[in-house]
Amino acid sequence: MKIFSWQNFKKRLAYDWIYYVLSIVLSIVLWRGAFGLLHRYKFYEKIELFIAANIVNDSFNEEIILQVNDPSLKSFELNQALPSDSAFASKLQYVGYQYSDLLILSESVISNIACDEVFLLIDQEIKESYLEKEEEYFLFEEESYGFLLRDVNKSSWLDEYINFDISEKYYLFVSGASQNISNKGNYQTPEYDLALKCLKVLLG
Amino acid sequence: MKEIFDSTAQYLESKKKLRQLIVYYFVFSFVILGALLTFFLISNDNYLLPLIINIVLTIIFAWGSIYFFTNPFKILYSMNTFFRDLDYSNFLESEVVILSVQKRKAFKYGLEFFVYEALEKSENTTHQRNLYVLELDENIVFNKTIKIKTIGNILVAYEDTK
Repeated sequence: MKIFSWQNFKKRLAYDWIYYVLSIVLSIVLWRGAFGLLHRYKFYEKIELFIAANIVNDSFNEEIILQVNDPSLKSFELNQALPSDSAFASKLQYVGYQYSDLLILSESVISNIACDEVFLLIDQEIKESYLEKEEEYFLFEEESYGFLLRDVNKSSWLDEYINFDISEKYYLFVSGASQNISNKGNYQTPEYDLALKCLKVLLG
Repeated sequence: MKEIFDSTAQYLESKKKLRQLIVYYFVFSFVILGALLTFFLISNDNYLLPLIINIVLTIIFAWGSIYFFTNPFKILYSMNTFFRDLDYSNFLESEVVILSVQKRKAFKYGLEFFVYEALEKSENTTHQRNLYVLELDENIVFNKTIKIKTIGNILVAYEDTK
């Protein structure tokens, strides 16, 4: 009996073809997963922006990466949640506060938030180091916590990308749980400050 | 009696071949796995090419492994088991007249056997019997009474009674 035989192979193929097919599918799935995992962006290579409004065109993230012009910024990701959505509070709690570096929220949303617990206090050092012009701030207990991004009378360069409610004021906040705000938040990561570098670009 | 095969020698030979085959498979596996790990670890953010190479190499490895375990390894392993069992089995001697070789093949021990159709005469009765061989023997005579040695209907040796 021949050990290597084309006839034997053809006979066995009728029973084993499924293993040959499955191996193709598994190879693709496993390697895509493995490479994706190995090369996924590190926390200091990406910025996540939470937006409490409808995004009509998400191409502005590429523009932000270009304008920030920092080689360590490889991805600018957007998370959208509509305040009218019944799951909005949960999304804000988990996606917004815990996983986002920056948040764009409307005044009606902020009214229920204890800003000092979740957002970064905008101190003088941030104003001097990361901003180019004087901004209007959102005050909470007489401290600055957010930047006015869009007012009823003040348009934003983001208007063509985000469907803002024109009757609302929108503020840009920095999450205190971000790891990209140097050592100013909950984490001591002094070498990573990408979120702060993005502020002046977002504010226009 | 002419032995069709020497089970001890065949057992040792199949065992040797089986070992060789396993060594080749391990060498092949290490080469492929080494290449896979190398391409995986040296890849950078633009990993499309190493990804494609790794997928192709993995498919080659998987197909090679499936072929190896379902064809050559399986056959050799079955042969090994078969010859080992023959070595420890008791033979049965009888007299038969071989009538023909059947076109169909039969499976025993996971191996393909040719089937001889024979008539066995014992005392007052004659009954039909199938005898199995791994390879056809050109010297076997048809329509003539011969003495045979079998194990589980597998023909091991025969002798022309004249």
